[in-house]
Amino acid sequence: MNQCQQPAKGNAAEQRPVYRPAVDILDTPNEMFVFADVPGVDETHLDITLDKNVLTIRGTVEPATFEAHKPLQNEYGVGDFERTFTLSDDVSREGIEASVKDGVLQLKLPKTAKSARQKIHVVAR
Amino acid sequence: MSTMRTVWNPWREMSRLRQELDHAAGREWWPHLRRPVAFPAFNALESPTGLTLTAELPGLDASQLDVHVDKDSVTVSGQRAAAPAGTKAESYVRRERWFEPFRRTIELPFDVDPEKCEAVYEKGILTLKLARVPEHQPKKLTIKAG
Repeated sequence: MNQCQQPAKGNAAEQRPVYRPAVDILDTPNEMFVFADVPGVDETHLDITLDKNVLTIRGTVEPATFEAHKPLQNEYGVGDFERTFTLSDDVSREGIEASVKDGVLQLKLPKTAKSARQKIHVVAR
Repeated sequence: MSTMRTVWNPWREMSRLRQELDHAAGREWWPHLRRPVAFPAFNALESPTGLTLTAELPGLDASQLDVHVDKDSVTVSGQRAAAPAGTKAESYVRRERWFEPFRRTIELPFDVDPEKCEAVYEKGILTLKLARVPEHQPKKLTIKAG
């Protein structure tokens, strides 16, 4: 199984398997970042929806076809990607940015102003 | 004397051991391949004139990826940057993606011409198009009726 994929969720109605992409989640003072490995997905094949506090990322992949070629060996499966996240109250519902490059989806989720980590200045008396 | 049902089957244990050793020794898809299943995973397709290999390697730069083609083997190696510069390790809430440097050599079942091979990296997928040398292309034999 390819390291980018976790076991397929599968959807009986669809022909293609659906994989759960590997993600890294970073928590920084003012934002959260999510990086997802979605090889084969570009910005036109990506669907990101936010429903109340559930964020769903879905990428579709069109498998490459090679003329006159017969499969010799498959070590990994090709399919779509989907993963859902439940956002905490710290994350603002506005201003979420998504970009995809070379098969990696980057999501930037700004935190709400009041939950951004505050630096408290210390004054000498 | 009560009859005991054998729950543990020694023959099954032995065949399972053999399967695990086969797996550890690498898949037998190409007879000369004697390595554990390694990273990255490749899919291979063949045609009379060539071999196409694909691997999923998202997040790489062409400069971080190395592909060497020999007449009978292909080596792919590289590494990708872990995180945007300046990220502290403790800010990871979840870490599932790989960042270790990788290197994999695949021995080919037939000779290829390195001059005619091509590597394309797009949307995180590396595609290698290898051209078989003419001597190793399948030849159609005409059957003489006799």
